[in-house]
Amino acid sequence: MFQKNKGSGKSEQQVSSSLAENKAAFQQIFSDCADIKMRDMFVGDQQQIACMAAYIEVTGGSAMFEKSLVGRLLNDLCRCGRQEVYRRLEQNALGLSDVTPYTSIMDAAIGMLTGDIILFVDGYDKALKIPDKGYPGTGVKDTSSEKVIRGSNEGFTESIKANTALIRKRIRSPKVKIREKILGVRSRTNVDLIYMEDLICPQVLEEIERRLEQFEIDGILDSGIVEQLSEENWYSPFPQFQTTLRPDRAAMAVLEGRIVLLSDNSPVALILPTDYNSFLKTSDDYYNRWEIASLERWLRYIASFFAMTLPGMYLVVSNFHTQILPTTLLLSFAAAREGVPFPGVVEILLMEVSFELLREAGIRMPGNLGSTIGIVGGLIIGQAAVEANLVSPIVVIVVAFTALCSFAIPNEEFATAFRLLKFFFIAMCAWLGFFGFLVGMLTVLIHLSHLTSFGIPYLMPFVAADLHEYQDERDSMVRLPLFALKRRPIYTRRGARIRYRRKK
Amino acid sequence: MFSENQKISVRQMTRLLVYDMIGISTLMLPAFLAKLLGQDGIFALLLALLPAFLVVWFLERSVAGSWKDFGAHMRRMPLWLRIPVLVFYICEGVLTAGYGVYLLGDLVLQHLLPDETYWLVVFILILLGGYGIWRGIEGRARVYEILFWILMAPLLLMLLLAAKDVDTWYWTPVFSHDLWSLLRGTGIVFLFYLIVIFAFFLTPYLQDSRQVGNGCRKSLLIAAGVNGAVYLVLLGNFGTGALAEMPYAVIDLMSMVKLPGGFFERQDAFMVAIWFFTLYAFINTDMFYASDILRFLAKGRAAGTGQDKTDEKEGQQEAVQSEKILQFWTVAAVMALTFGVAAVLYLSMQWREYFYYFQMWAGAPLFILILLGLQWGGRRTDHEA
Repeated sequence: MFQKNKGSGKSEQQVSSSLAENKAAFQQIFSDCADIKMRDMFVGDQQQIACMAAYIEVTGGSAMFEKSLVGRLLNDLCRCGRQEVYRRLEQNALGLSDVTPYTSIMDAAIGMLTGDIILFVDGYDKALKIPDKGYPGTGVKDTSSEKVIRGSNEGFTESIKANTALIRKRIRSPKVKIREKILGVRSRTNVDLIYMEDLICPQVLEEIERRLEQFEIDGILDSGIVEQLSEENWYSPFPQFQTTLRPDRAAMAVLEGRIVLLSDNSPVALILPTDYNSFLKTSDDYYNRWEIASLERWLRYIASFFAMTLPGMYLVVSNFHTQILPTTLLLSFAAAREGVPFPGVVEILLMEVSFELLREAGIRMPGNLGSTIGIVGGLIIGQAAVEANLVSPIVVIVVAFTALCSFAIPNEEFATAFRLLKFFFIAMCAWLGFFGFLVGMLTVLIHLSHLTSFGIPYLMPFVAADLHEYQDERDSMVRLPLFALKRRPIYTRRGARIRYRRKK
Repeated sequence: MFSENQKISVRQMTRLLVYDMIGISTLMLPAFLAKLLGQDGIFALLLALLPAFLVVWFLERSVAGSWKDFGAHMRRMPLWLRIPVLVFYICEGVLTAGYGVYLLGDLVLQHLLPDETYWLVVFILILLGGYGIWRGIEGRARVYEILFWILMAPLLLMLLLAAKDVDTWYWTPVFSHDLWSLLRGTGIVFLFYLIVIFAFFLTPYLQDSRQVGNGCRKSLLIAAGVNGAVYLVLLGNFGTGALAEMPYAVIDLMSMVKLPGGFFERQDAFMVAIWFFTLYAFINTDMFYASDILRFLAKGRAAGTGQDKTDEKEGQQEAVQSEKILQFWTVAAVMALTFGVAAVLYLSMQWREYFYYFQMWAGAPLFILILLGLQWGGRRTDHEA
């Protein structure tokens, strides 16, 4: 299925001391690649040594030979005699910090595809990889989601190197380790596992490495692909990796003894292991005072419940158990529905599907048009639908409140699970009323109780809290004051769980 | 890594046992006791704790002695005795699960879905039961660990709100029944408390089996407390005569309670959730042990119920696979049998009577006798060894 370059005859070809041979080999590998540039030059004090710089068009700067690292190298070599040139190259006497020598042509080709310049020098049997401008990418910007009022809003970029640096910037400890892997047979994407050496459980690291080695795919274009290919329960709507766009969230996870997985070209970091509680935490839960942080946590828990169940509950009380509601409210429900030709479930589905369409259109529409769609959809179409007696105002309120609840969940992937389950609950409640609701709740609960993320029960710390002597309950629905959170969560290895103590 | 070892904590066991007990007992005991003992019913609820504690004491001794693993103990038995004992446990599990399904099905039809067919409700309940037991004890324990306060808090709140309408005159006179009636009442209550005997099968799953006695006693006290509170509130609200004729009096009580603020008119539909989850716990427990013991019987070689170590070593993929297949078929068989029992109980009132008689005069005594016999046999074998 996959064409493996390594191991083939071509891959074994060594870098020759003849520039012509090397150039021919490179030209063969990169035939029909208009973006690959191979520029011949001469170095030495009498311009007596031929050399060639090979690079991808945009990764080498136009002014590279004046100001860049490779330019400085070539300028220096232009002042040396023949033997001195080879000596300096061999011993890296120019003191360039990030030059990698290759002995294999294929390694050099792959090295060039990382966005660096490859330099061949006639009479020298190694190729040198020299960093330059690199691939284009977006710089560090404010994160587009997971916004906080207090704290940094810096977001991850699409460059894995920049992203690892953003984490290092926050945890300046040599114990932060970064294990690099190359995934994707054709894309050869860098994937980094970042962790705190003395805090992680080694089994978790072994497990994620095992899972990453279990598959082979042609391309990894985003961390989402890694996530889907390495999660245990593919059938679950609930994500088993936590995602974040925020370096401070990722750094916090590293300090908790968790592992952060970064994939090149993706601004989304994966955090593992995770649980239900972690998905409802935000960075500023720890930056704000504990009272308001706890209140917000409660709100998010309630939001996660209603995001899944509210439309179904509406069907239960309006279609099956009207005796629950006060008569006045029941009458106003009936009055609002007067003239609506559809049954309640169709009304709800109509509005929910419309809302999902609006959301989808809002995401896909360019720039400012996205918010326009929200206004057009939410206000104009909603109002028109009510006035045309297609839906009742109460249904619009229910759907809008449900949407509000789903937006209050801080993690988009996690909120998606509730969006999906909402339709399951609508179906169950429309069919079996409150019994359907209970069956649905029990099904979800049983599913969640069986779900684990790298061995951590998904419902931690509400279940199995004894595994960590009930310490994790201190940072769940209520976030106790920081001084009371003396221990790190259960993800941390035993014996390294103390994170706070008062100095004597 | 961190969990998934098929072990549960004492807290989880306690909560499981509480839910196994209070669902069925709060639903059925008030009518039984009101009919038999009237105001003296509360004493039966307390007196029945004595034999129940005796059972727990016996269990504690067994765990402290040789009996740490039900399966290993069973294997010591001669085959001619082992098979009938295991078959009895399976039958008992299926019968009680079937009765639980019938009860819950009836409750759903009466309070939630009066126009729906019984068969659909039962079918869904059995499917849920099968789903619940498929992944083992840990998942079950977690469900009830998380649900414990979610359900207990509203129940206690509603009882508290209902308490203000209690007429304490209905609680008197006391000591108006003869000793035989009191003993019969105590016996009936003990039957419900005897659910604690499931702890016998739970010990291999416990992280610390020495704590089994504490967990059992705690669950018995909670169950007795809840039952006592329910009985007193019901008695105080309805009086003996009315209570004796009300099949699900506690749910009727919920429809009468007015919440402060008065937004909801009636809460009974919502409050059925408590009995839905607690009765489901009871059904699930019975189905779990029935399928577990059936698997044990079918294999005849495992280390104990739920103590299968086949997947510990690599290279035993085949064994794991065949274990899965066996598990599938045993769960499916228990589901089918439970459905059958629930159907028979629904179709014939006479069979329901037989069921009560069987539990009273055969099921419960045999349960205790077999366990005593096992303990005696185990001690003798240990001594000889």
